[in-house]
Amino acid sequence: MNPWGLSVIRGKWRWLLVAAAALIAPAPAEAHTALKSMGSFWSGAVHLLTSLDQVGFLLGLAILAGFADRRNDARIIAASFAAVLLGASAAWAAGWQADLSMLAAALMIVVGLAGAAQWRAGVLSLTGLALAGGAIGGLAGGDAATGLSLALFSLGAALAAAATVSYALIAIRAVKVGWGPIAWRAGASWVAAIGMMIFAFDCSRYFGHR
Amino acid sequence: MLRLLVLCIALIVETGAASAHLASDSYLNIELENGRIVGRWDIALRDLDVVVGLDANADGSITWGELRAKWREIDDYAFNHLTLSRAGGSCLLRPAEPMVDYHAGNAYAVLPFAAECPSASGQLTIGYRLLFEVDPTHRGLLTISEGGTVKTDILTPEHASVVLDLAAQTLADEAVRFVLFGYDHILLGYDHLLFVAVLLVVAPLRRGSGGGTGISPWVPIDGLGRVAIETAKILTAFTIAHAITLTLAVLGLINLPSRLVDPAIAATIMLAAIDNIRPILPQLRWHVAFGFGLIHGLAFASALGPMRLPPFRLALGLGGFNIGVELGQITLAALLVPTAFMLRGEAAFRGIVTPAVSVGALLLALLWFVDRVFALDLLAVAG
Repeated sequence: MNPWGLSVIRGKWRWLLVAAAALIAPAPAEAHTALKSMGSFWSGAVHLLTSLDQVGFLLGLAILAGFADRRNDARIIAASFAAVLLGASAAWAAGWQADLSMLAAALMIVVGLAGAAQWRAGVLSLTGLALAGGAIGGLAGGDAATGLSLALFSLGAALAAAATVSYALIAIRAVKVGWGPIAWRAGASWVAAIGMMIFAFDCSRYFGHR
Repeated sequence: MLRLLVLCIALIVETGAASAHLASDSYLNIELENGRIVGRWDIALRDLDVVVGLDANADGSITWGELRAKWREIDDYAFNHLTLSRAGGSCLLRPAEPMVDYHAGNAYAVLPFAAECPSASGQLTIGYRLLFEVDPTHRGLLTISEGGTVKTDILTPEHASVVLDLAAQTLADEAVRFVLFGYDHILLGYDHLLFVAVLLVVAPLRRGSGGGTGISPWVPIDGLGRVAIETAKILTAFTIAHAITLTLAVLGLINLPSRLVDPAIAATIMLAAIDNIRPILPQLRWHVAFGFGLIHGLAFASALGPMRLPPFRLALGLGGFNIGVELGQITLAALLVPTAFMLRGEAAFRGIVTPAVSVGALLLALLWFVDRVFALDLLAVAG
């Protein structure tokens, strides 16, 4: 019986793949407690920036937004900021400690596949995705704010989310060469692939095959 | 609308309560001489008040009588959070008569002690846990001297135990620690950060022509390059200014008490925030950063002054600390400026977000100002 389903991959490569999967698997919030010595604001920012599923989703979202009208950019950045801020606040207020990495990975797959297909999403779809992904990121991070200032933690996380989308959009808008869209589509496919790996890892963890 | 207003005020008070907390440092000086170990440990009374409860009648001030009644508890608390060991055996710490001293206008309990170790030679190991259980942002500033050799270290929750090998520690190690200390100091100094943030939020904007209202509206600056240059000007001017006053203060050429400096810093934030809404300061923002940076440097002096470093170590410490502060500002700019740049073209950003951020900063700074001028400790209660 091979619970990993990796029989086609032999020898050391199997273990390398397992190690890579373990590395990219989203760490539980407790792993970030060492960040508390950085203070509430920076804990929030670093918490988001060290969550691979969050950063992956935000990069995928930015690539998807890059194929749409640039007049939507500000709205998507603002929606990401607001959703993370409100999500973290809501999780903290409700005392909710949720492991939402599977959901976050699913959203990574959605934005990654849509970007790889160069889907020209409308402003409502993009804003909805930004709100959903941001809220999941905020909710997932809220419990890490325990013992810290909620307002500063949420603000740090929200600014980090907005900055991630902004950097990606600045880069996307700056590339005006012909191969640009191909490169961004390739990038989006990587986001989808990593999302699938995280999703698969979470499934195996959830269903007890770890 | 009323609910939204109440929520905003609650968030500002909560933010203020958390961030009004001033940098928490203690100064641990240890001298090794002919196998004898003596030390002096300076711990801020405001920090001890949190863990020991010095202000018995809760009137906001700590009297000599209140302090004298708690010396035993202070000694017990402090020396239960410090361990020295040598050659594998624990040293017995013997506290001497405590005193009070002032650093940058703040009162510190001075705890002299001697250590009796099982061996007079061998590597000395220090375990430092003061305040970490209640404040992970607390830092212990260690100065250790032996036969004219002085070394320093910064103790944090992640670096709470150090093995002192004076011969092995290089100047580069020490310089890096001061850079990290400066970086830490600015990242945890929310009043300094808020001031820089108030300047940076309008870094991608410039004042346009006045129009009919007499108030020049903000208009976007074209191009990322120009915004980056504007940001660099602001940060560099602030760094040069605080480096000047920090150096003068650490050298003892300026000595202003924190009861003046801390409210003045709050006032700089208020003025910069008002200027974002209605111009009252020079148009060139780097002039503002330089002028007010001179005041912020005076506050940084409390971080290095009491370490009692010899001249060369002091120069190393000042250099490293200033580089660290600059890196901290760059980190904040890296977080804020890209978003401000992307949003600068939106009328809502210029007309709603920028004024809202400025009003929020103004209210927070006003809260700090009142709290610091009247020593009300309002925000500690709220926190």
